[in-house]
Order: sequence, then C-alpha cells, then structure tokens
Amino acid sequence: MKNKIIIIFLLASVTGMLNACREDAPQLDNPRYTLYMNSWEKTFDTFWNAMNNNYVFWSVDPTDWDAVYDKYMPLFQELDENPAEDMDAFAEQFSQVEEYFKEMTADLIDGHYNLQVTVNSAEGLEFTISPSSAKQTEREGYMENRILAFYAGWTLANKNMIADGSLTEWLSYVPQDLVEGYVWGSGLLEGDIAYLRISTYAPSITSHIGTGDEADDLMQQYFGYIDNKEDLAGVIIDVRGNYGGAVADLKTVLNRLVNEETVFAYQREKDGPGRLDYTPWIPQILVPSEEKVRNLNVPVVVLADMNSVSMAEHTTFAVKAMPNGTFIGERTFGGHGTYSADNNAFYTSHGGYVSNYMFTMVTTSTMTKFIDGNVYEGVGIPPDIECPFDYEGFLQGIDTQLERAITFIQTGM
Amino acid sequence: MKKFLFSLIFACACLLPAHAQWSLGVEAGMSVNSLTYDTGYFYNMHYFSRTGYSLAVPVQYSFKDWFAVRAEVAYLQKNFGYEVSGDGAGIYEFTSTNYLDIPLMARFSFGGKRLRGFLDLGGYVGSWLSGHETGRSYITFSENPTGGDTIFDTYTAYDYSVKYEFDKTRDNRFEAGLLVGVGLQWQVTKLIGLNISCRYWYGLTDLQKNYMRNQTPRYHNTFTTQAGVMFTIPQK
Repeated sequence: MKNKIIIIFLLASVTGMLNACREDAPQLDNPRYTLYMNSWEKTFDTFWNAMNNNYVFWSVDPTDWDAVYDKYMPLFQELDENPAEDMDAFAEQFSQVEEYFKEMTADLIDGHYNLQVTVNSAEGLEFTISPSSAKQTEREGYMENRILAFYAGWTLANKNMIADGSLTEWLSYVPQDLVEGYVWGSGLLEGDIAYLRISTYAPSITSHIGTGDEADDLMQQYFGYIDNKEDLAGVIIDVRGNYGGAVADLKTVLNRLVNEETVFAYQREKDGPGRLDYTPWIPQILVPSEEKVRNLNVPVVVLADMNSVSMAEHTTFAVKAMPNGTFIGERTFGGHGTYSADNNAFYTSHGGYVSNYMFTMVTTSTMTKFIDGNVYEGVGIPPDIECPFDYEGFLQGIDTQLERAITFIQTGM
Repeated sequence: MKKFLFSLIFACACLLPAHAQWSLGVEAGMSVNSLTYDTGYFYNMHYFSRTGYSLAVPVQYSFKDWFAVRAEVAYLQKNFGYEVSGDGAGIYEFTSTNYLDIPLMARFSFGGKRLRGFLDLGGYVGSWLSGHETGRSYITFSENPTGGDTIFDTYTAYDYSVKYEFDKTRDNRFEAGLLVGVGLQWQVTKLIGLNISCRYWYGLTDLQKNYMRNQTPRYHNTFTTQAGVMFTIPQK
C-alpha cells in the first residue's frame, strides 16, 4: 500500500512540474488609450505593438516586423540616453525620429497607410508619412502633379466633346470646389453610350439621391439611361483620379447594372491580437437594385488610372466581376481596404485605425482579395485593356482613354 | 526536459513485477472544451466553451490488479467559440477542432472484485486533424448609412460555415499535454468490464507556432466524460 502511494505521489509531482510549461500572455495595452509616451522608447514600443496587433496585412506584407523591433528599439533607446538640451537639439532629434519611422514603414503595402506623429508640446514638430504615395513616384508613367494635369486635360476634352456633339445631355455637379473638372457628371456619348463621371466618393453621392438637387438630377438621368434608353449601347463609368470615399456609393452607382447577386471581392478582418488572426473571407456582394426595371446585357466599362484609389478601385473590382464588364486604363493605385477614422471602430473590426495623443496611424481594418483569388493591395488592379495616360493628348483636349472605351463598346475590341 | 520526464514515468512502471493481462476496448463520450486565451484589450471578444464528442480505442496492460498502463487512440473534438459585445454585438464564431490524440497513462485501481474505482495519471500527444468554423459577420459593402446603432442595423449580416483553412505559419498541429481522470469499472464477467469515467486534458502546447514577438498563447482545456467496454484477452 505504501509503495502504491509513493508511486502515485511521484507521478502526480512530475505532472505538476510539467504544468509550468504553459507560457504567460504578454501584457497588451490598447495603443488608442496609451498615456505617458514620455520617452522615444515608449513611443516606439506603443507604435510597434499597435502595428503588431492591428495591421491587417501581415499575411501578405513583406516587412519583417520582428526585425524592425530588433533594429529600431536600440536606436530609440539611444535617443533617450542622449536627451536634447534645447529646442533646436530636440528638433534635430525629431528629424531623426522621422527618418526612422520612414525606414520602418517604407515597404508596408497598405495603400491607405498614413502615419502622423505630433509633439503637442512643441509647435511645428509634426511629420506625416505615406509609404504608398512615396512608392507611387517610382511607377512607370508617374509625373509630378499628374493629377492636376489630368483634371485640366479632362476639363478641356469634356468641353471639346460637348462642343462637337459627341457628348450630349451633360449634367454636372461640383461636390468639392478643388480644381476645375472635379465633378460628378452624366451624359450620352455618341448618342447611345451612358457616361458617368465620378471624381470622388467623398462626399457621398448616395446622400444626394432623392434630394432634387443637381447631383440628384444627374444621377436620375444616369439611372434613366440604364432603365429606359431603348438603344443603349453601353455604359462607361469614369473613376480616374478618384481618391475614394463612401462605401455605400458602390450600390448606388452599380446595382442597376447587375442582373443577379454578384460577388466582386472578398474581405477579411482581424479577430484577435495575433498577426495572423483573421475572420474567414467574407464575400462582398453587389445585389441587384429593387428599383431595377430591366436586365441589361450591354458592355459596361470602368475607366481607372494610377490615381484611382479605394472606392474607385472597388468600383473597378465590381465592374471587372460583371460578365459584361471591362476595365480600361492603367493599373490602379493599390488601396483596397476599408476603414473608419474612429478609434471605436476597433470594437467591430478588431484592427485598423489608431489615434492617440502622440500619433495617428491610418491603416485599414479589412484586407481584400479579388474573385481571381489575388490580393492586389499595394500593387493595383491590372486593366483588361491597357490604355496609358496621354499627357500630350490631354494638352490638345483629346481624352484618348475615353475614346478607347468608346471604341471598345462600339466594336468589341 | 519533457522527454526526460515522460521517460521517468514509464521507467517507474517498467521496474514493477509483471502480472501480464492485456485488455482492449472501445469508449465513446462527450467533451467540453475551453481555451486559456487572454485576449488583452480585445476585451469585447468573449470566448466560451463548447461541447463535442469523443471516440477511443483503449489498450491496457495490467501489471497488478491495482496498477496498469493504458494507451488509447482517441478522436476528440475540442471546440470553442467567441461572441462580440458592444458595438459588434451579434458577431460570433463557433470553431470545431478535431484531434487524433494518443494518451498514455498509469491507471491505479482500487475496490472489490466486481466494482472498482480508478485514477488515471498521464499525458498525451496528438495531431490537429481538421476544423470547421461557423459564424456571423457582416458585408462591408452592404453599408446603409442611415442605419441604427448596432452593426447589423448598418450592415447586412453574413452567415458562414467553412472548413478551417490551416495557416502553416501560425497553426501548430502538434499537441501534447497532461491528463487526469477518475472512473468506475464494473466487471460483468471475468473477461468483460463496463466503465464510465471523467477525464481532464490539460494542453501544454500552444495552438500556434512561435511566429511573432509578443504572441498571446492559446491552450486547450478539455473535460471528457466517456463510457465504454473493455475485453480482457484470455491468457493461454
């Protein structure tokens, strides 16, 4: 009996020792509410952990985030060990901090990523980093102020087409008084092609529907072409130079153009603090409008370019997913996530945007893949028919990309 | 270190005089599993335990009438779920994970000739075979800007039921742990015994590989209740 008790005790002790093999969870602080970032080390640590837990692209991003910690934590600690003695020295240190953050984030693929660091106690000490904008300057076809050249060229081409009768029934609205040509507009090209120009989805087009204002008028005209125009040959939706905006506008612009529920992309979000904690891929579905009058089987073309971002790119995804849809233009910007600039959005999406008193990190809470299974974040959507930006053409008031879209609808080629 | 300790356990058994008696059986039952998982500031994700089932084929070698070594091939469900509260109320996920485990334990029994109680102490290794996720999320591009306060006032819900897709960077499909159990056996005849038992499986391996700094570990804690029959193989 004694031997039995001894053996049971020994085995129980051994199993008890093995109990120590479980790791403890690390202390995780919500970076949105972190206070007392009173050192560069603490600032870096808060930022690094914010990214570690909230960035949604770790499954596809090439950045080695652990290596970033290993390299830059000692550098930030070194800054703390040599505190600035006056404001000039602090400003110099701050410039060094900016360089470190630029290096750390240089390869992040999030097309919306934007980091603003502010020292509230020191006026003027602030910097903003946008890795995707920096990378865009290396793209073939990039030119400085191209967006301004586009809007100037588009405006001239638009006037020319109205003057020569190739664009009729043109109605437009200025959603934001930024530059000439920054409009929403609808009309008929060559008498039988519905044309919708959307320079921005911010403010939202949907908010104007039913109001009777000029924006509502042009959208009702566009709906009328889709619903009623007997000899409608095709539809062109132009989102070139559109930086994105309201998610709800996708339905408004496109849901009369699909004859059945159409999956155009998949999205997933974070569902835990681990870098690879994700929800399943959730299909993003364009549902036919309840106000739809008829099934259209005409070509639908989306025009987009390297300055088409976010919602403009989702418009492009959705048209490409249509059986009769085609994307003509240039590879788009590569910013396909969605986000809300609100710390409270974390409690539904469990990732994304972080803002505290030291830094604001804009990063999306969703990752998107197209129906072909590819993630085009940081890459951009490739066109079905490539037609590059034609600066010389625009200088002469000729929109070669729009003309290419018209040719496609008329000839199928 | 773990290998050494496991070896020590079996060395103790091997030093005992032999009283050879092999038994083979089958058992089935149910499991209740929970995760040890500190979600930190993801505090509105609430994890809870879920039930599943178990099926095992045990083989037992009795050294003495009070001491045996028992191994099993066990198919075990270790299920869990989470639901979101607050702004995300209505979002949830149930995860089923299916394991093939090989528990190895020392069985200490006591009592009379027919009705005996037993205590099991040991460990297990196993493999995460497959999984399934069902849940509710929302479709981002269904946004109704005039919706109400809750997530499903603003977005259309999407119910999913999908096979779990393993991530080779993250998912650790090997598991090991400790177990302790108690039960009763009723010896119906000299060769057939019926038993009922409860067992606690304490996972020692994280469900994830060590793939990131500041990683939050996750461990299974599984409580099973099973009933079965053991057939003693007659000696020549």
